[in-house]
Amino acid sequence: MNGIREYRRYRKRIAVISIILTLFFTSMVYMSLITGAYGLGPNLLIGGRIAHEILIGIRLPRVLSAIIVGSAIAIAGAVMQCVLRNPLASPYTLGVSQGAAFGASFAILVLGAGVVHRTGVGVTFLNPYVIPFYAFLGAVIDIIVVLGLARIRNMSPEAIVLAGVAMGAMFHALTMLLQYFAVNEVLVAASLFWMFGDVGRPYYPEITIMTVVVAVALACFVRRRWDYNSLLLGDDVAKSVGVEPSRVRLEGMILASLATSVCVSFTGIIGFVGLIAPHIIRITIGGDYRYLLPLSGLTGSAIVLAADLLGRTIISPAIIPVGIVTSFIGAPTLIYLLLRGEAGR
Amino acid sequence: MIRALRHVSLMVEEGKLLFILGPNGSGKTTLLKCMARILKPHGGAVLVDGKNVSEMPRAFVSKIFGYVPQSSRPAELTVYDTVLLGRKPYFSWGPGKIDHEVASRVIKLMGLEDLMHRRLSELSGGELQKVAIARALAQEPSILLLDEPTSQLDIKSQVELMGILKKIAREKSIITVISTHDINLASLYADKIVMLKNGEIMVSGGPEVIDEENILRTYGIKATLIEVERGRRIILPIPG
Repeated sequence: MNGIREYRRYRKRIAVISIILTLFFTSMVYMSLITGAYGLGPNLLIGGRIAHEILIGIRLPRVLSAIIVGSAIAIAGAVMQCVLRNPLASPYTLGVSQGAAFGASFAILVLGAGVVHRTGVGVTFLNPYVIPFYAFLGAVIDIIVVLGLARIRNMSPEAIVLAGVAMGAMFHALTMLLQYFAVNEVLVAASLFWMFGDVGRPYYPEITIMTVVVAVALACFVRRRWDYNSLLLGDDVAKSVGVEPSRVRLEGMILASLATSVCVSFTGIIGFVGLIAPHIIRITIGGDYRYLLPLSGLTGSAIVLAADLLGRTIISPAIIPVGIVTSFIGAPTLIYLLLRGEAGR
Repeated sequence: MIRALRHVSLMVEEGKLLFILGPNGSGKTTLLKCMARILKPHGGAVLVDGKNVSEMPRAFVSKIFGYVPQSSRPAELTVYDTVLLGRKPYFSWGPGKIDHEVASRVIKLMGLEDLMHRRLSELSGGELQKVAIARALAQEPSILLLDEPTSQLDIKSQVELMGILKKIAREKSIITVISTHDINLASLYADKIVMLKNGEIMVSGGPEVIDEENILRTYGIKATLIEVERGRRIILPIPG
């Protein structure tokens, strides 16, 4: 039967994409663990004390951080695109990242929380929690304003995206204002440096916090996967099958924003992953959120790992922060995906 | 605030087809959406068997009413998964064996087996409409609400669809409420007719209520009725 043949082809495509992504992800994890200024041997379990310390103390937290941040931003993007009915929705376009950047800049430039010193390779933040706290606060203020406006004015999902873009622009302007009037050049450099997302910043305590928040959000998203599918058919259909679109929308936005805020506050801005990861999956296997959510997460993690690996090796021993690499890779990739999508229509 | 509906009360027997007729803006879609709790009335209440729909949990309402909108979105979902969505009121984590059985049965009933695993974005308007009806039927509703279900169908598909709906209504004892602009289709298939104007019922009754006088009262246009065979009539508007 024609239907069965198509179904088998569809399932096969999902299986093939999943296997390819898993292989790519695993190879990125392995490569990230062995690659760096101090090269580790192919067998990670064999090595001296220094190799062990580098693996557990430097490489592993970096890899874990990349996995968690990448999946969080990608899945948050996928959820936001669904609940806001906009393919351009992502933590970045909704101003969450810019809110975090303003919070971090405020902490560094105004509160003096970013006591910095220059090492040979870059700027090191001496105060690990004050800056993330204010970054988180900035991101949360952005979410509260956007969702508050949406609630009070009963805004459409499309208008919510525009409100997010406006808030992002405002936070960006405020950040530039702070930097313009700052008297200490080193602090300005520090606030700029914070914005270049870097997965090397979080260590195990921060990774634990990120993991818990992302895991809770992810569990809620997976539980809602059928609700997201119903929203793809429009609010009327969603309501008619027993789903409350406004509740799903609010819950999705809050959880996606919180998961992103927590991650971004520890790593800095990592752009485009929330946009391109869901689009790659959507183009290859379609928009079914049962598959889109986990595969977007896997893709997001793999992209951040690959970008970080590239950033660490391209001009080694110097490191290009992952946020710069993702933007470099992400912008042309997004244009390519959009052109491919248009051509396919 | 616009008063879209006023004193609308419908009585329909199980297994019967009720057609709602009326000009644009007469409140047909609003009425269906209020019944399915998609819209919440600012005043008044929608009562089913004396119980207020607005006070029922949404999932419970979804088991009573199956709603098919005027147009369906061509989402990137397969036909099977879309029909399975109709089982959402019956599961919380994921569909079970019974849900899959119901979805498969409905797909067969609607003749969608060959399209089962196609994506909605690959379907024609008429096929999409059939999938939407299948999804609503998978909800196993006691009342099926269809908003202009034949508007995107060719004449053959219209007749086929109305035949399927009538058969399902009779076999499953489902009350089927259809809003339409097609007076001839209503005259042909309706067990009961309600004609709405400005949110009020102008006339209700059997298919015989569609006559020159009621068409003039409801639509403000003259029409002529032509008897074709065994009581079947076609209604033609008279221009000017």
